[in-house]
Amino acid sequence: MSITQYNGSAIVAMTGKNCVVIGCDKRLGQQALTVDMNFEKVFRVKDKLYVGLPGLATDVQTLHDRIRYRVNMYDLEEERAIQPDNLAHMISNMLYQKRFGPYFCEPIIAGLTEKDEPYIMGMDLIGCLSSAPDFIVGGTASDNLYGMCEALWEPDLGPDDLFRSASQALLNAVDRDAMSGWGAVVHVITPEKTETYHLQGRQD
Amino acid sequence: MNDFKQQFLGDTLTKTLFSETEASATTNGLGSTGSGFETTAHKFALAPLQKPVEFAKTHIDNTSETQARIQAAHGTTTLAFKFQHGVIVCTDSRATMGNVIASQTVKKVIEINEFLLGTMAGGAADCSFWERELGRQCKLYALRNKKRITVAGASKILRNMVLNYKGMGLSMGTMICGWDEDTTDPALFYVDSDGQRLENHLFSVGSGSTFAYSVLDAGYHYNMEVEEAKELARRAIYHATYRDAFSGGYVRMYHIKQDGWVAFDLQDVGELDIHYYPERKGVPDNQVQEEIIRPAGVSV
Amino acid sequence: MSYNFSLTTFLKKGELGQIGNALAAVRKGHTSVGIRGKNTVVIATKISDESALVDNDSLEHVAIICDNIGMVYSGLSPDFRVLVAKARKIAQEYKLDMGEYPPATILVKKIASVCQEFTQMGGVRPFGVSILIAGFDDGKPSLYQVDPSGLYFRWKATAIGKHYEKTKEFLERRQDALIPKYPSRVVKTIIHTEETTEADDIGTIISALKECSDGEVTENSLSIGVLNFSPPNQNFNTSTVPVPSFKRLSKSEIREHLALLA
Repeated sequence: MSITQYNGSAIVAMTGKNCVVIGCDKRLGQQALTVDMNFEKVFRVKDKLYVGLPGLATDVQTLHDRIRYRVNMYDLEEERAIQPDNLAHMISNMLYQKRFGPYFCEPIIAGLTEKDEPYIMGMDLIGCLSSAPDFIVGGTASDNLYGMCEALWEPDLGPDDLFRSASQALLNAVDRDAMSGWGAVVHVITPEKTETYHLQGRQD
Repeated sequence: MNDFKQQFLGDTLTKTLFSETEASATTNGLGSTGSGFETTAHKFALAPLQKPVEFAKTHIDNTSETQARIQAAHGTTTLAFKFQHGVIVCTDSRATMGNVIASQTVKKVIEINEFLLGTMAGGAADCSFWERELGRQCKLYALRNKKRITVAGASKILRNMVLNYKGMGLSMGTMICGWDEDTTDPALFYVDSDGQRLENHLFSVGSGSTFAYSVLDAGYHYNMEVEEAKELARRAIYHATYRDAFSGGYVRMYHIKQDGWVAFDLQDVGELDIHYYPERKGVPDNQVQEEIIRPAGVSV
Repeated sequence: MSYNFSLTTFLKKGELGQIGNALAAVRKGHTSVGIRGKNTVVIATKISDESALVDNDSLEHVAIICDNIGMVYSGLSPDFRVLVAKARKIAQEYKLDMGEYPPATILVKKIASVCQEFTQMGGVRPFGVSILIAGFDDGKPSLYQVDPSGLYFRWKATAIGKHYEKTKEFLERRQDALIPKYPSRVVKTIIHTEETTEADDIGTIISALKECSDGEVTENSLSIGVLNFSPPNQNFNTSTVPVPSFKRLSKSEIREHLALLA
């Protein structure tokens, strides 16, 4: 078993019309043993900028700490909110610094730009950026998520419909993945506000 | 016997190459256990290689511990215990291949005959094949001897059969449960592919067995009533599905009585969770809950 | 008797002698001027013509730091080259990290902290230059001055080097013609350039240098850099939106501006 599958995770980010959603499952396991049922893997960076960290939980926590450190420093030095593309480059660079001993984590960034345009970006564990116009998925349930998202995503969905599509994709994907699940959290990011929803999922 | 085993271990070349004619022929491969049982009428095709067993082991993975090309269904919680009114047999219904949940509606109880049940853990194909074979042997015994075989006898046949293939990659952990003719006590045996055969009041087998044991041990006593016993089994399976990633789906339950077994309706683990912990709803107590939604079409 | 390894030492009156001396070197350097316009920043310097034998083309007085930042100096040109190299490295490192070039304020802070380090570190001396940095902050043009001490200011217009007081007074007079004088002392020297065009600013700068610096002002003795928005899909801008770009004016372009003033 790959070390990226040791703890289990499922993360999805989707774009809509002037909105994005990003969501994750809540399981933390040690292989088959489920240890924590409330382990969230999507973190708020700014009001309209979130980062999802699927992969090995110890690296998820370390990366989250390092991202927070860098973003706080950026805030202080530049006195302006970091933009999604800058954050993506920053994390990509941070990952490549560990090219020969990587963090086992494939970050996903979701947010709105200065002009409130939706932005999503994914990358591999050594920082190769990959953009997509529709959705980005990650974690042990990523194969399932690809299938669900291909079926459910449509262009220009509003926040409510986008939330519904992402939630359906997430819940149904983790129901076919042994390593993730136990409920989900979905953040709906719009220019006015970001709403966080806790989804009830199967507890098996 | 030894000839047959020799073929499988494959130290000699080409002798066992698979062909249509050989496949349809019968070989005295099984059952010559000295106990007077009928020999079996089948033979297994082997990979046309010098060491077919090694080939099978590297390509078929029953345990998910190795990275084989074919991952057989595995991962389970099964349990069975004796009590004053018989045996409760209870299982989950999840089958996984790798991390993918292949099915949530697997039947892990094998109805050997109307007095005998076997459970299924490990390789699904190995369990179902050998327990079906056991059913055949048991029926032949009954026809010959005009009485049912004992649970002890049946479990020993199974053990002897799988022992012939020890070291060849079979994966099976089963509980043979029943109630013998003209006795007042139910019977319960554990048999696995290593050739181990144990008798006890209570067993649990599979990746979720440790979780089931912890619930069972806390609540088990012999003089339970039927409802209490069923509830104990249900809780044990439920808690195993909660903690074990490779267990889940539905709770399947059987009760073996003196006059044969009865099966009960499946219970969805997702619904059991809401039944046992209605306050949970996927949100920790101390967390502000913006909104809980249950999207349409998702059965929870 | 104690040893002092620092070259920049406090005088009794609380000043750092070496920094005062560095500023003296700056005041001896050729005059440099900068003006911030509505969508542009223009920086320029009057190259000293000590000898007619020097080929001024070989000297880089206005330096391009990255696509959207440029720099000019007064003082010691070798010291300037070191700062240019550091600034370019800072800009590229920032781009590597963040995927874009730094805003002017970020580069200025980093350059200023380099200057400060050279006032405190052992075995070094302060830079003998003041620099003017042209860049963008939040899409709006900015003009900065950084001194050898590490001190930095943001200006609407300013001058450094030889005759800087005279030049600033000139800029001030130009501003007086355009807007009412602010009461504050600090903004006294500010030119109101909100309405001026790039050509106006270049004209103002050339006039200032013509009037306030020594020697003749020709296309050979001027070095001018302009920061503006490059229109979409033109020059090197492959983007569909205007992007900031810093360019040096060619001799023929400078000649055209000189002709306009004549």
